Amino acid sequence: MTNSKNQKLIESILKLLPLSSMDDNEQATWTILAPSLSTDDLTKLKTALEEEVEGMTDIYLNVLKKQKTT
Amino acid sequence: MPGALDIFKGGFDLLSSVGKSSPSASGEKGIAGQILDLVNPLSKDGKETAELREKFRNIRTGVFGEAIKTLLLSKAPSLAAGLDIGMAATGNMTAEVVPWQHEFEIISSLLLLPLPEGFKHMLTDIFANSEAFQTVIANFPLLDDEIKQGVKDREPNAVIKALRFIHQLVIVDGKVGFDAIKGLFSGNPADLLKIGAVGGGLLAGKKLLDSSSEKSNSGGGIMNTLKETFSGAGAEKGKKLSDLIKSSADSRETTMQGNLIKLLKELNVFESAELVKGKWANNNDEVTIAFVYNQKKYFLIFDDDVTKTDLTIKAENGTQLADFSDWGNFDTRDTADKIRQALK
Repeated sequence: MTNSKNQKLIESILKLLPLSSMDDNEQATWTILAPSLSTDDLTKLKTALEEEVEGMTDIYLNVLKKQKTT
Repeated sequence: MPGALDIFKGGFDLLSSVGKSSPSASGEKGIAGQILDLVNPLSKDGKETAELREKFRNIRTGVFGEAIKTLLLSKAPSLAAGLDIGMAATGNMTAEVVPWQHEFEIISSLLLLPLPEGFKHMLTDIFANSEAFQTVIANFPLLDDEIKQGVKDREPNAVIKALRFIHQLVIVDGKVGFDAIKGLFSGNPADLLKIGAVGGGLLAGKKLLDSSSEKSNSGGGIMNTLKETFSGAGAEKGKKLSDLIKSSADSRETTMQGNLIKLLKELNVFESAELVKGKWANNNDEVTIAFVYNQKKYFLIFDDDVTKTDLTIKAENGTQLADFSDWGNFDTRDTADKIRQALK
């Protein structure tokens, strides 16, 4: 039973999963589980993934900045 | 929910590692993971990236624990009951959302153990025999069909599982909003809260024992609250007839109930009609329906008996305006015409 709100959340999660630092098996686990999760849990997962990707982007940009200045 | 996290951490690790045949040097992949591997040597000895990975891995483990618990509860309530017993035994209980949360969860999980059926029936029949409870269960979102059927068949374990399910999703997690189920109680969410709260109290053994003495003293208490909630007296009062009919979609109407609906529609008062006395779901019962016609309030008394059906229309002050003894012999349209004449 996947409502339209969950559908959108699942789509976002599927796009974010490859960007996360998690390994392939964990990605597979979430991909299988996602359709069964509640809106609340999907939202938490999506938020965690977004924050992780943002955090990693910041680190990456900082490193690039340092490289340019040195 | 730290307790649940601890329990599920092992499972999550296991699931994540299944089929892990050729782990990469870092044990992680993904585009971002690869970028992190590239920038690692350049960023504070890799400490920053390692911390980030660890932080979000822990968050995901937390989400996994919560999600699995909800899934277990919906798909395998007996396993979830075992989890409650396990958490109580290890002292890993979380903070209570409501004061009786742990009491309810532990006692109800213990009740799912193979206890004598008679003992369980004593506890669960109060719910199983209630039409209000049956209606909620029959229409409750996310509830497994097997449990629904079990409640219909008055199986004690199914009733306990259903109560645990409602308790978890409505009271504890708030995953099922009142909006989704308010129609079952004609829009009064307080009634559903009573099921969760009273159910919690009932299944908590101590309160049940307390209630035995209260029952004999007739001094109120949980048994009286239960009776009031589930006996039907007051459960449907003041509720729109159209809502009551929608909520009891599974049960068939009698022919005369169907005729009454037609009559109310014919008079264009069906949507505003409210049940003020009696129970709609019961056949062979007397019900009083209030309706507004030409901006005036009237009462329709519908006395449905096995042998005949009487219909009476009264004004707000109690004056009888129309009487259709043995209404089964009347045509609905004719009756509506006669009522219109009487209400002029």
